[in-house]
Amino acid sequence: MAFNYNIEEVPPADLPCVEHDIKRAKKFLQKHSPESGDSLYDHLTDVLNKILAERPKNAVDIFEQYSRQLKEERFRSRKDHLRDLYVPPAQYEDAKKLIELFRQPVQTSENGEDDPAGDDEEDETKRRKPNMLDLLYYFEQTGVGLPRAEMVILNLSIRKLMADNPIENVRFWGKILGRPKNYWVVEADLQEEEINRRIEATEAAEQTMREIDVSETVNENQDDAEKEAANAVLATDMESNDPAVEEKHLVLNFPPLPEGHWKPPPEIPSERIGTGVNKKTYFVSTSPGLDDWVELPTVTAQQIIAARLMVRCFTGNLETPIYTFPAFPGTEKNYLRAQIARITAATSISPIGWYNFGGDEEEEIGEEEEGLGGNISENPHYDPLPLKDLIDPSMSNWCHHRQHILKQGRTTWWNPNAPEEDEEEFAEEEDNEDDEGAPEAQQKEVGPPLLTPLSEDASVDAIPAWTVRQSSLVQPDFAVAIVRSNLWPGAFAFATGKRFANLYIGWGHKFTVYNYTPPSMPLVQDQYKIGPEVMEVQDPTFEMEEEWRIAHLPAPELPLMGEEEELLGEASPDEDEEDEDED
Amino acid sequence: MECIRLIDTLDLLGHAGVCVGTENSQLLQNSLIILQNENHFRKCYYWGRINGIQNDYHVAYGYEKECLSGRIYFYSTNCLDWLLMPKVTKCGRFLTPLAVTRFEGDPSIITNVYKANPPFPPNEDSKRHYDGPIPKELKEEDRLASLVDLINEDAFVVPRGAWFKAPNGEVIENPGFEGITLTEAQHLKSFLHGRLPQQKWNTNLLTRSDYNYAVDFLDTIDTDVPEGCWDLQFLLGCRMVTLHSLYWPGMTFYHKLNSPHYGSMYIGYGKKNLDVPFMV
Repeated sequence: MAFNYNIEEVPPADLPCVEHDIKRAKKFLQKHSPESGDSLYDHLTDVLNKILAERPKNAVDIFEQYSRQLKEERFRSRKDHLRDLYVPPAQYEDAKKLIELFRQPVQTSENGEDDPAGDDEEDETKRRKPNMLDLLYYFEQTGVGLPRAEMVILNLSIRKLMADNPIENVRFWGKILGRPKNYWVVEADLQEEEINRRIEATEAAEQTMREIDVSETVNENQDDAEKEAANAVLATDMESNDPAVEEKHLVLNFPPLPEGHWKPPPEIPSERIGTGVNKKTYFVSTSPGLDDWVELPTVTAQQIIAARLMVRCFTGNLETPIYTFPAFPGTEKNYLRAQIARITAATSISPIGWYNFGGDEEEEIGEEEEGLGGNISENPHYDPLPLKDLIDPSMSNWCHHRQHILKQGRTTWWNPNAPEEDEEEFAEEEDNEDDEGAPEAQQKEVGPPLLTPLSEDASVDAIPAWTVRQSSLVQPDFAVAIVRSNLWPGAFAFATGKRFANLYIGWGHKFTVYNYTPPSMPLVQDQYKIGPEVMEVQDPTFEMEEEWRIAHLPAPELPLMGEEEELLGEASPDEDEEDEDED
Repeated sequence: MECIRLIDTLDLLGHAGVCVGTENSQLLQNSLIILQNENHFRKCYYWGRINGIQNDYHVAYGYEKECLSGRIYFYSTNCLDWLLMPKVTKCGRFLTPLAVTRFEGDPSIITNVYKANPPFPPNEDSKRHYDGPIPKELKEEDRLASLVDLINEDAFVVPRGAWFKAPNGEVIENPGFEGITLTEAQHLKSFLHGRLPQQKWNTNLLTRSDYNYAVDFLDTIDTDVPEGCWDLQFLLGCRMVTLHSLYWPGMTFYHKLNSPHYGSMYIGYGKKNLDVPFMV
């Protein structure tokens, strides 16, 4: 009975046996890891189970991924001892605000029913609400992105804006990208009563400011007088304290303090609200529907001039201070408004014939030079230009319909030499005075007149200012002509049939070929007049001093030599030195 | 942007002001699928558009497997006939940043870019900047190739985890990528440069606690200088994130959070914005 043929029995260790090996391997796999408490056996079972349940493609390639995922899942504790707390979805706050926009139209439509009876047709066209979805349809064909969801919300929020503010001729101007937030910009005209009211308000404010100024200057004068009196008293006090010492030695003879002869150049007045660069009012919002629309302040000439000299990324916060050189007068909202004014003036274009100089006002235009301040109005008999003309690369069938901004930062020129006079009067006078040719009279700046074709635009370093494309080559009968500005990347215009629109979506910076260079610092001004007293002179060398000393050596007075050597170090050998020696 | 998703550009990239029109997207989609088939690509992507004066260049790429170094680029001026992009040459990389003019739209045109914008004063030794005789003329085709390469190097972004380094060294798309979460997306560290890493292999591993070399083998974008040269925005109530590079205005990256959808597209004039230090 030495041998038993029962295979279940454990054979001696030296004999190979499959069963035994399997058992050993299984035991090894089932060993629990002291760190995670898992065993590889269980883990593999779970992984295979998961793979079989999910049946992914190429399971072998992502095996490690599955294994890791499973381990991560196992790690999470399933027991939560905290009370079950419902966390609202991230969009909940937004949704609450946006839903208000959808509630609102019911009320306005009720009001709307009463309105049309009293309103004229003109008013209706003025109060026309922009249809963003229509715009979206055309711009989408040409590759300019206006996301559908945002356009619906934008439409609703513009309606709300129009209901809350006294504005008309509302237009979606575009979008300015920023970091970290973007601006949506809406352009509108203020109603006339509102403009008049504001002009009166500003005038009143200016009046009060002036009065304050006057009173302040009076005060200052008084203050000055008081100070002088006090100084005089002090001075006399000082003198009386120790007159003997002071009078003798410390009568210091200072040169008079230098006086400033520089006068700041006269400030260029900004244009009145409702005219020139301030003709339109702009409302911005960082996210329509969620944030309110904020009206931008009017732009001043200084802001436009300063904005030309800087590049700055928008931040999406209107109150961001702007630190640049040269200093920008205002915060980000002023900068934004200045950039909007510049972009609008440069990139508002329309097919020729869309606008014309209003029929009634033609006489006035004759008076005003080259129709610079002329009013243009939509041409009711506009004949749609064929697509072939619209995409002509010479751009002679498109024209500007906004006034050019002059170097002064205004659309109309303001003469700094005759600040008191009325502009128009002066223009006439200037013609008469031309012959006399006052040396300081500045050249009058004249921009191109309104409705100048784009073919007149200057090209920057061989880069044409505009590029035209048609939206579709296969279906030219439905295609839309798209114009892209190369000077203001992001400015677009499209035209097809009786539709056209301008739009800007970009970072709000002008294109420059050679990048931005900050203006150099002004020269350092001289504190004193340059003369022999303030000039630096090279120190004499020891040999030179020796020579001088030997030449000037008074033969008998040898003992004084030590002292003299020091004094010889003076820069310019004057004869006065001899006197100083004695002191 | 994957060519079969081009129809969605309006809602994805429209937030940055660009999109591909419906007709164009269909045109591109079909012509790129044909291109994909001809070249036996696994996936084919529309890279973007570079505006020119006469014509615009459309750029596309595809790869068989390796999605980082195995890309093959094509360009076209009419979206129908795709031409193979030439290899980036040293001369092209040297001269492209100097070119200040717009693209003309004709790939065979040769311009002297050196004259308009010499990179260093004439009396300086040119050997310091470029060994060998200084090239001065650049073919537009080469300029396009170098420009695409430059933009990819600076501004091509992938979310962390989207690419995966296989044990054999190949970089492949991670099929199990499930998107990054809202909290992760708030850090620029979660976005990686889609280029061959320029930093040492352990730089990224040392800066995060949950490191994983299979995923963190690329450079993160948070180390780019100056700080603030990336514009990170959350859209659609924090369901989507977009990234703009201020250096290359026109480069837009989007990622739908918690989903494997991501992509980027460049639509612009092909000019690097060197004014960034003044802007932020």
